[in-house]
Amino acid sequence: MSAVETAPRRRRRRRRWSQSREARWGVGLTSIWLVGFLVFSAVPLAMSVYISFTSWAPISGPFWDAHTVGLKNYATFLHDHVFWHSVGNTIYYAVGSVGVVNLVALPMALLLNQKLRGLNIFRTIFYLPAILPTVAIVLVFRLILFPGTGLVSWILTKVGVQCDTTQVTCNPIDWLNNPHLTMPAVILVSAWGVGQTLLIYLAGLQGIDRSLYEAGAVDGTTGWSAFRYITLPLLTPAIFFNVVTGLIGAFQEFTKLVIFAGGATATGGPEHSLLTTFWYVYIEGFDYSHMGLATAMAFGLFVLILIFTGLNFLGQKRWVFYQEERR
Amino acid sequence: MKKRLIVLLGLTLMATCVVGAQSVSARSHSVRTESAAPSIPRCTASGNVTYMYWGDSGDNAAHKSSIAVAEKKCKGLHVNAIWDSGNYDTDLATKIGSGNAPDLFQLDASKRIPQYVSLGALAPLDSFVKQQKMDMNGIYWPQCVNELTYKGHLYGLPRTCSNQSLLFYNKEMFQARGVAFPTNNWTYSDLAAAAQKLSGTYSVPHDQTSQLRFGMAFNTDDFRTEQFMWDWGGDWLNSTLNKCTMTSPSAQAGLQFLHDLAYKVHGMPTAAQASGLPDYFGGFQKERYAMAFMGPWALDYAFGKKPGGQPQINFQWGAVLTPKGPASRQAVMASTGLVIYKKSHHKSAAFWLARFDSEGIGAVVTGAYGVDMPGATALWKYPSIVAEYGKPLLATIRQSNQTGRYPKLVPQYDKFWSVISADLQPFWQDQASVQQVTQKACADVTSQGLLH
Repeated sequence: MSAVETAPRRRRRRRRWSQSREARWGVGLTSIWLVGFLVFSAVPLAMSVYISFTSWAPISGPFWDAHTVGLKNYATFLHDHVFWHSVGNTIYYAVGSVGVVNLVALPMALLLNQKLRGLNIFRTIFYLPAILPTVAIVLVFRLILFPGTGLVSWILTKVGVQCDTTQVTCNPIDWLNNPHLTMPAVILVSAWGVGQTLLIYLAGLQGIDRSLYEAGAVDGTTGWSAFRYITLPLLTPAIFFNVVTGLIGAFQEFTKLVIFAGGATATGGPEHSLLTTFWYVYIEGFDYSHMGLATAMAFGLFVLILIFTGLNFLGQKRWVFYQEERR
Repeated sequence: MKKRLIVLLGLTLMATCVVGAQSVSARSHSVRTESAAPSIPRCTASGNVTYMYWGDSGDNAAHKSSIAVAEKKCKGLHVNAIWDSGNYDTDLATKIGSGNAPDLFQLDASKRIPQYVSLGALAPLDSFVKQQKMDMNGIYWPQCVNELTYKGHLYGLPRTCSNQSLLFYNKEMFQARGVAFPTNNWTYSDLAAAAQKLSGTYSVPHDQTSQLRFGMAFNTDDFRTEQFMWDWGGDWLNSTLNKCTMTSPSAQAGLQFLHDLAYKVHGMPTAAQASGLPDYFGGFQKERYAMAFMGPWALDYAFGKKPGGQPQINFQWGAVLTPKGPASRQAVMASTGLVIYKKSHHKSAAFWLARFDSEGIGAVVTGAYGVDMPGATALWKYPSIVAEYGKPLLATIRQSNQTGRYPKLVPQYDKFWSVISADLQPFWQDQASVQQVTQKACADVTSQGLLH
């Protein structure tokens, strides 16, 4: 009886030991990431939730000494017209830059998907700007767009466009200081960094089953109609991915706008035309030392990103087509 | 092989001698400075004092020397120096906010005192001043003592104190255009007339490229807008700081004059032209602007005239007082205040160190580096300071300090200035009138609760 009893117990014990060893390895291997997540993400996130309900100004001392003010910070920024102006600018930049980048990247990816000689060289050339530092790109574009003497100004003069029609006297078009032109200029600069988006489109294009085109050709679907009815629908997952990640990135853009405006002291560019919510959060937190308010505004920005991403995910059912689903 | 060894040994010996001689010379220099230094009360305090300051590597070296002397003079004192050459204001706020506030730190008195005091970061120093029977206005420049005083309490000792609007000029550019050098009796009309003649495409002896140069830089920062308003009899705010007065005709006239220097006189670039040109400081160095308003700090930073420093320019220059305006020739006085953190446990030791670095030997050591003029008036006579600036320039700086003025500040100064700066922008771009922008600026700072 005892021999019958001991055998399964030993087996159970052995199984538990082996299970716990796997578990220990699992915990051990993920602990680095877990500690990192806890220390650098979860705890700061919890702290920032708390800070957003306080009147904390770093100059006044540690945040745990700050007074709690309830929802005051949230009410303050919701009634602040500069905040809403910054939200408008953020949406303008996000939609504009994501639109421009995708409109440029998609045709380029189609071209680079052709069977051409030296294709890899073209691919490298088109991807190169993506590895350049943003600061360098924006500074170069500031020179290109410089009113009067910049390359763009020179080209516009050659084609007969010399004056900024929004001004009484004939001044060259001022992309750097005219508040109506600064944001479009930055959006155009974004098109320079299409490499990443282009790469994803290219991967998407190469993932499309060639037999679909062959079948389409049998039915007379070639050229534009093949693009319209085969390529574009099957590329929608890539478009969706690029739009979602592009929008999230664009909502948090900071460097490009600050450098284009002429540095952090420019506080939002001419007439706050480049002041995005992210930049406004920085100004309130670090320039004005209103860290409680800035943190609350950061949560406002988080909600904004959440809404846009949520809308994207809700809308995807209507227009994103996954090849696997049909199979 | 032996020969090589002998040569190598000889070279090593020579190098040792040179280095040794240099260190002896440096030591004797510091001893000379020390012997000439003023005396402050003996240090009776002790403790570890954390001292945070800004500046370039030369500043840091000067501070380190000063601290070494301080620790020798005050046996129980140990100083932890924190040199910050980056984003000082943000770094300081981060240190305070994380519970690691320095005991003693530098603060830009012309911008930060009301803000730091209203947020409860600074310890009032009145009790130390009273206990040590200090005659503040006798020891330091009174304007800078006022700048460090808020609501009747003193919060810092002025380590430096100077007028920020000396008119520096490039003699080469004046000669190239046949314009007489500026004088201490210049008015703003003289300035405008000269700026007009100095603007154009031409070359100068040290820069043979024919390029567009201007009389002055397009500079509309807070110091400059204040200066032009004051000199026409206007101001941002009334005396109690609860009413915006930029809409007054005198304030508007001052701003209009500055605007017209670019758009009517063409003595400085327009906003559009300026966005592709260096700022007033770099442009003056590169001979793009013939004149620039700067403080005595320019001597070190713009011209590189520091002990052992390489000159950054190769043209002859001069400096005169701020021109006379219709109402005055006032310009902003700026001071580097030495302030003590309110919750510091070493306030007595920090105060002694602040005195040592603002009126004692420390001030002589750092002042001789030439960063800015010492806040203590007596130090202006010390040989190392006189040698650094030269007697004629020192006389001009002294005179400019007598006409300088400290700015009136509100606690949320950064936001106040940011709002005004953004509202004035269309005017500086010649797209709106001075009446329109000043009305908007006053309405905005009032509605946003940025006044007292």
